[in-house]
Amino acid sequence: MIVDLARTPTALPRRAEIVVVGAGPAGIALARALSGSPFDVAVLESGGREIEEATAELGAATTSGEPGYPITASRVRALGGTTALWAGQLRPLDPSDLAARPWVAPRGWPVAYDELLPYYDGALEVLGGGPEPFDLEHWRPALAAADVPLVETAAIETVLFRTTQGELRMGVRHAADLEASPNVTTYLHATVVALVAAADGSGITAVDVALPGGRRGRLDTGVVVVATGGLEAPRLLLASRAHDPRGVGNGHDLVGRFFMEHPHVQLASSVWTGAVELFGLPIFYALPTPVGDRLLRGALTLPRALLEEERLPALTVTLAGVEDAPAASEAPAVEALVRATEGRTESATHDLFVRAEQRPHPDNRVTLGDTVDAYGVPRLHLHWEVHDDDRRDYARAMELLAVELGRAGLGRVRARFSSPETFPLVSGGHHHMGTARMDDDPALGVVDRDCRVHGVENLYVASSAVFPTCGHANPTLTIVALALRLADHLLAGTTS
Amino acid sequence: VTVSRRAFLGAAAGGVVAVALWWAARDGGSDLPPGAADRMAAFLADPDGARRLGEAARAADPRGALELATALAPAGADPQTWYARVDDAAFAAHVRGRVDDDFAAGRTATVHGWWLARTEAELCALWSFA
Repeated sequence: MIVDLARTPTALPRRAEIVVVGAGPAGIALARALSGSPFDVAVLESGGREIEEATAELGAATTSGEPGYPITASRVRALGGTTALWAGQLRPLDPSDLAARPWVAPRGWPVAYDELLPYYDGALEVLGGGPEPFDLEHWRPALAAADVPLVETAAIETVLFRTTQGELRMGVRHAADLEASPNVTTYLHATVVALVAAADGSGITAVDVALPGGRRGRLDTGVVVVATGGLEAPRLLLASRAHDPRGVGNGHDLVGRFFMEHPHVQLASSVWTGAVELFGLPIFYALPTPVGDRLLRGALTLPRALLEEERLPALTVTLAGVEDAPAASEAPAVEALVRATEGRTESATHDLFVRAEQRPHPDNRVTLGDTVDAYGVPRLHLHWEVHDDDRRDYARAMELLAVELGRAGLGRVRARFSSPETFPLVSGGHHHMGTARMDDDPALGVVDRDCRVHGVENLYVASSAVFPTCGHANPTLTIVALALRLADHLLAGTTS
Repeated sequence: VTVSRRAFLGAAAGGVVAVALWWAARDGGSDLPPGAADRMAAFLADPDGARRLGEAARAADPRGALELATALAPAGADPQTWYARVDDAAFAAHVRGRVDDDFAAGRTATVHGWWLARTEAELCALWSFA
């Protein structure tokens, strides 16, 4: 059942066995997975069915670090969460993303890839991605049939991203399921403003909720799952200070720290003289392209073995429109030169767009600001910057790509920077990760391998906030996979 | 000691030649070997663009024309005769092979931010002397 508290006088119940805070993709995945279970579940969503200005204002925030970070535009308080805005790009993490990579972070994920893998199928079902694998080999015949050429060399690989088929907004896609659930009630316009801790701090006994018309409510509960995003999850933990001024689960000053984005930067220009058949429209390495009845997009990447050898983070490169004035970059002169040295008669120019993994850094963090929102909750402040080690590595990856494109006779690459300090404007992918990181050691992580907050026996986080490292893949598929894994954990009633 | 006018002129001329040779040896000079300009002109599709690239390459490469011509020619070949002897097709094949070898060996040069094969940068630099 879905109850919009702004439209009906219904009061919140006094208790629900499980409270899920947020009805974004993680919250909806949990709700669907828990539907039909013996648990009485309440999903509390701050927004309504559509994006509303007044509700969105609750998320207004400030930033420092990289200029122009769109912190407000990338969050949605509404049924379905940020899927109301997303592009539906799906890709699982790579096994090596979870493994220990000391050059990226001191430790890998405490969860083995084999533990996560089974949940990706369910996540694809939730998100409308289709059941097929992501392996290039699986798709090679279909790509050939669709006349999609591939860039493949000894040191450049193609990875595939899939696009959600049909309705992108998970709040619309799954509304009927939520309505029909016998034991899960989704409350709209129910903004959780604080977690209420037990007297000894060992658990959460209730959530405080702001309701339409200035009303307040308190919902007692046995289990709380914070299923808001990587910014609002730490905000709620930090703002719940009645028991401990440091917030909930923040005994080691980790909540909010290690924020990661996927830095997006148009880092290079390129002239392609080989594989010019790639550049008919639509461009597979830029946009989702019909392949059979699916939409696939390709991206270039360096082999994992090379990344490991060079101690580089994961990243992908796609094609983009040319930003530099041709005269400034001497692109036409290089195009003519390379046509001659490669013996080609055709060529094309594209900028290269990098989407990269960012190392977790403790100074990239969410903190509470000095002002409060309409419900009295402190607004969040995000400090985010791309540090020199990441910049150097992205530059090195561009050099490796340049040499390989030249070696393969495919083209040439021009750095749009003279040093890592002079990168073009770095933006993000609206991917907020790492602020309640997962580690089995409470001194190193906010949640354990079950996504349970260390030291708080009945509080879980279902969000990209738990990612200890982030790979290059868009996070939503993994967010939902982790939510489904958490649902299994709750259904089993086990703790580990 | 008296020096005849003939001897004086001869010595002066010899001195000029010596200075010229020293200068040429010092920075390679700006004269292209015979045939080099013709080979490059036939090869390069955008001569003005290649010249600009070459001027940028020379900002980071102090070598003169003779050194560049020697570097661009096959190992052991005399640049003063090779460029005149080789035909356009053979010159193009030679350059393309060298470019392939450069990338295979990771020999690149950065010109206007472009990661070019070292041979491409040398070719443009040499052309900028033409």
